[in-house]
Amino acid sequence: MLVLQDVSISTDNKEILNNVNLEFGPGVHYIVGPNGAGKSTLAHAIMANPKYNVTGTMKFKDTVLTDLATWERAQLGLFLSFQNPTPIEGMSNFRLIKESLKMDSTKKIMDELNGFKGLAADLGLPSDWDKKELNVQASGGEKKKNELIQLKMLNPDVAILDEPDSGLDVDAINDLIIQLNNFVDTNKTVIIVSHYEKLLKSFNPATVTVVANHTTTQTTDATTVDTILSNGFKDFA
Amino acid sequence: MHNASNILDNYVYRHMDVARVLTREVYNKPKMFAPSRDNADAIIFPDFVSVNEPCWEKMQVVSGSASNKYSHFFEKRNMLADATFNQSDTIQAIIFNSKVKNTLVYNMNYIASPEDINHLFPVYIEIPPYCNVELNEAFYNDAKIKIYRIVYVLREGSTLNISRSIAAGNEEQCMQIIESDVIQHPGSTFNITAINNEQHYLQDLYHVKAYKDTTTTITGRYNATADNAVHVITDIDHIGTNCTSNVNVKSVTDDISKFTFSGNLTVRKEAEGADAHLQNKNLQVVDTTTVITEPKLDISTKEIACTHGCTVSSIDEDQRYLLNTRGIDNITAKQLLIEAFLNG
Amino acid sequence: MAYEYPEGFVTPVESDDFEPGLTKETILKLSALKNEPAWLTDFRLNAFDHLQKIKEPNWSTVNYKPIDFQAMRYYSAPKFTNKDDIPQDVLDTFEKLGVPLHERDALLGLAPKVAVDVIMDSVSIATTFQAELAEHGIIFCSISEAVQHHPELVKKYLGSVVSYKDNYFATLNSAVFSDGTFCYIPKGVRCPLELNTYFRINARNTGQFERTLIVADDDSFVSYLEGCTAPAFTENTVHAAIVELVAMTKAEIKYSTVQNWYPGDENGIGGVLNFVTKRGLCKGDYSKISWTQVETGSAVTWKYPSCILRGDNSVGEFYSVAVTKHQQQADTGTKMLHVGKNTRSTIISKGISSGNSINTYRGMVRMGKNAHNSRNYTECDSLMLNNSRALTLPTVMQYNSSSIVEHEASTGKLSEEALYYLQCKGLTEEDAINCLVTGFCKSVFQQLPLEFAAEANKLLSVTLEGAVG
Repeated sequence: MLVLQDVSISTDNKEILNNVNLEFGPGVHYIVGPNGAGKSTLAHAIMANPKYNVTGTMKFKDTVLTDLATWERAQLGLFLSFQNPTPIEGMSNFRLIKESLKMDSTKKIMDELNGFKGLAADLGLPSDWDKKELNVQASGGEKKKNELIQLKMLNPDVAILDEPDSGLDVDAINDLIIQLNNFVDTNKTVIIVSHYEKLLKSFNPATVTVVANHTTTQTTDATTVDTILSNGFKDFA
Repeated sequence: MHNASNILDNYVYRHMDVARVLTREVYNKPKMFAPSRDNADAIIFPDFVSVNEPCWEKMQVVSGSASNKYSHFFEKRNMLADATFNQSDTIQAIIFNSKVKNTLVYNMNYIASPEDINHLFPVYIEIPPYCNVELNEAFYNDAKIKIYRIVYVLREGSTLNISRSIAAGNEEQCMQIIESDVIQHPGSTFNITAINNEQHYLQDLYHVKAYKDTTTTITGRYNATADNAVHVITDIDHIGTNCTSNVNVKSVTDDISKFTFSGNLTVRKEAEGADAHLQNKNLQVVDTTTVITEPKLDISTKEIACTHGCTVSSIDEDQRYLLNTRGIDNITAKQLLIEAFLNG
Repeated sequence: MAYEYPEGFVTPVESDDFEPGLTKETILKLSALKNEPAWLTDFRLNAFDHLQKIKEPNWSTVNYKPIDFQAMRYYSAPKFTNKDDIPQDVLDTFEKLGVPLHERDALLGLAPKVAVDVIMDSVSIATTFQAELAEHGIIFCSISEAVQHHPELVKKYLGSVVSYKDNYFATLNSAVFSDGTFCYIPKGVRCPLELNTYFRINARNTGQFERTLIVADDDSFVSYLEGCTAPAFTENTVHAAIVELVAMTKAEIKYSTVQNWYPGDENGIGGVLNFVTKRGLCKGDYSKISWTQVETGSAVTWKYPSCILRGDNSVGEFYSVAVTKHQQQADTGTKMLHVGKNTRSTIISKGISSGNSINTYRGMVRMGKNAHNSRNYTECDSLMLNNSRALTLPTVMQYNSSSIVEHEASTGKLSEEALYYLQCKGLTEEDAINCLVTGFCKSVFQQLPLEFAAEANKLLSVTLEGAVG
C-alpha cells in the first residue's frame, strides 16, 4: 500500500537518509534503529513535514505522493501518531477530530462525540476529556492515549506510530496492545517505530526495517527483532 | 491619515467637567433627579421637549412631563429596550433608577452616520448604589470621524457588565475613537468585554479610577487586517485598598495592519492589598504587520500581588503541521489556530 | 540605623587640576596635555560643538538638582611622574579597597590573578599583567596609552557604537573623556585572564568621564569586569561614561559591572550622579555580548546597557540586579535591537527597592523587519522591601512575524511565610532577609565571573543592612 523508491531525505544542513527502498503492505510492520538514526525523520518525511527535503518517489496505493501536501496525504488515508504531540492552547481535543472529519451535521457531531467519550473512558481518561485543551499540561501517557483516540476515529488505511509506548505505564501499554490489535485487520497497514521489547514481541510483523548508517534495510525475517534485542544494532552499523 | 490631532486639540476635558458637575448635582439633589415615575428604570437625558429647569452647559433636564420622547423606553421594568443615539452635540446621560432591584439589561447602539456633523459624542452613565446593570454596546461607525467620550460612574456596591462590539460601516477610511472613563466607588464591580471588527482606525481607551474594594476586568479581543490600525490603552489607577483588576487583551494582525497596546497599572502608596494582573498576547499572521506593546507597572506599596506579561508571536509552525497531518488544509488550520489563540 | 559606606574616605594626594569650567579651551588643554593626535582633538571639538545645541534629557523618572556644568573640574590627576612611583597613601587606598595593584601578590596567590587597570579620577595609574597579555597579542591598557601606541585601532572603533550625537551625556563624554580602558583581543585568542578596571573618584568637584572600548576579533573571548567607588562628598559628583563593545564573527564579550558609587546619605545629600551609555555591537555572525550588572550605589542612575544584534545568529544578554534605598533613584534597563536573522536575546532584571527610593526598569525589545526567526525572553521582577516605588516600563516592537517575544514581570514583597520559616530554623531576621534576597538575585549572580560573585553577594548584604524598615 505504501511504497518508497530511491528516496533520500535531507535538511538544508545535512543528509539524513539515502537509498531508502521500502514496501508496506497490509499488516503490522516494525521500524527499529539506534537513537538519532532517522526513524522519526522517515515517518515525518512520509507526511511531507516542511523541514525535510525529499527526493525519489513515494506511492500510496498507486497515487504518487510527491506533489501532495501534508493534509492531502492525511485525507488520502495516511496517519502519523507523534512521538511528542504538539500542544495547542485554546483548542479542545474533540475540536481537532471534528475539523479533521469535516463534520457538519449536528447529528453526526453528536454521534462522533459520544464515540469519542466512549473511547476516552475505555482508556481511563477523565470524563471531560473532549473539552480539555489539546496536549496542554497532559502527561506523556495522556498525550499518547489522545493519539490513539485520533487513530481510531480518523480510521486511516496506513498508520505510522512513532514510539506509541513512550510515557505509558505497564497497564497503559497493555491497553495499547489491545487497542492496536483491535485496529489491525486485513486491510490496514500499521507501521510501528519502537524500542520497547514487550511491544515488539506482541505482534507478528510482516516486515522489519532497520534504520541505521544513513539508510534503511527491510526484511521479512521476523527473527531480526530477536537478534536486535539481544545483540543491539552493531551488525547494522 | 485624518487630521485627528486638530479635532482632538479642540476636544479637551470640557465634557468631563460637565460630567463632574452632573455627578455632584445628582449626589446633592437626589429629589430633582428622581425619575418621573417610580417604576421607570432610568432617567435619560436629553429630553427633546421644552424644559423649565435650568440648564447645565448644554444639558437638558427631564421635567416630569408625560410627553418625553424617550422616557417611555425605560418605563416598564426589565423591558429590553434600545436606546439609539444618533448625532447630538449635547451630552447624553443615563442615570439608572436606584429603586430597581433586579438586573437591568439594555442594548445601546451608537450609530454614526455619514451625515453626522458632530465629531464628538459625550455620554454619561451612572449606576446607583447596589444596582446591577448589563449593557450590550454596539458601535457602528459610518461617519468619517467619530469620537465617543463615555463616563461610567459606578456608585458604592454597584455592578456594571458591558459587552461591547465595535464595527465599521461602509465608509472607507473612517476613524473611531472610544474613550471610556470609569470611576469606581468603593465596592463596585466593572467588567467589560470588547471585540472589534474591520476598522480603518480605532482607538479603544480605558481609564479606570478604582477607589476601594473594587473589581475591574477588561477583556479585549482585537483584530486588524488590510492597512487598519488599532490602538488600545488601559489605564488603571488603584487608589484605595484591596482593589482587584485584571486586564486581558489579545490581538490578531494580518496584512499590513498595526496594533499598539499600552497597559498602565498604577498602584498608589495607600492602595495596599492590590491584586492586579495584566496580560497582552499578540498574534501576527503574516510578516508585514506591526505590533508595539508597552505594559507598565508603577507600584508604590509592597503589600500587593502584581504581574504583567506580554507576548508577540506568529502562527506556530509545529501546531500548523499537526493540523495538516490530521487532514486539515493550511487555510482552515490558520483559522483554527487564530480561534485557539483567542480562546486560550 | 546609621548608614555606612566604608569606601567613603578621601586619599590625600597632590594632584594636577584644571580650573572649574568647560569651554573650548578646556578641551584643547586636555587634548594637548594628553598629547593627542589631531583626529582625536577634532572628535572632541565636534562633540563640544554639538553639546551647545542640545539639552539634558528629562523623560526618565529620576529627578535631581540641576547640574552646573561650569562649576565642575574636567581634569584631575594625582601628581606622580610614573606608574612605578605610586605614593604610599595611594597604595594603601587600593589595598583598603581590595584592588590588587601588584602582579606579585597575584602570582603568590595572595590575590586573584586578574589583570587590573586602575583609574583614579582622570588618569590610569596602574595596569598589571600587560606583558603577559601582550604575549597572546592582547592589548590591555588605558585609552590614553592606546591612543599613543595603537592609534589606528582606536580611530577605527571609537564612536562606532555610540556616536557622539547619541544623547546628551554621550556628547559630553565624547568632548571631555579623560581615561578608561582599551582592550583588543586578536583573532582566535581566548583571553587567559579576567580583565578588570577599577574606577576611583578622589578629587572634589570633579566630573569623571571615563571611556572604555573593547574589541574582540573573530573567534575570540574576553571576560571583563569593572568596579567603582567614590568618597562621601556632600555635593553630587557627575559621572558620565561611555562603554563601547564590538564583537566580530563568533567572538564573545562578557562584561560585568559591580557599581558601588557613593549613594548619598539617608537624606539624599551628596552621591554620584551616574549617567552611562553602554552599547555592544554584535557585528559578526554568531557573536555574543552579555552584560551583567550589580548596581547598589549612586544617588541617581541612568543607564541602559544595550545590544545591537546585527550579525545573524548573534546573541545578546542582560542580567541586572539594581538595589535602591533611602533616597536613591535608578532608571535602568536595556535595549535589545534585533537586526539580523536568528538572533536571540535574554533579559533578566531584578530590582530591589526600599526606603523612599524609586527603582525603574525601562526596556526595549525591537524585532526589525529582517530579524526573522529571532527570539527574546524577558523576566523583570521587582522586590519591594517597604513602600518605595517600583516601575516596570517595557516596550516591545515587532516588525516581522517569524520572531517571538515573551515578557513577564511581577512586583511583590518578601514572602512572610518564608521569612517566618527561616527564623523558626534559627536565622535572625536580617539573615533571613539576606537569604531570600540572594535567592531572588540568584539567576543574575550566577552570570558573574566566579571571583566576583562572592564580592557581589557581600556587597548586597552590606547594602541591605537596615534596609527593611
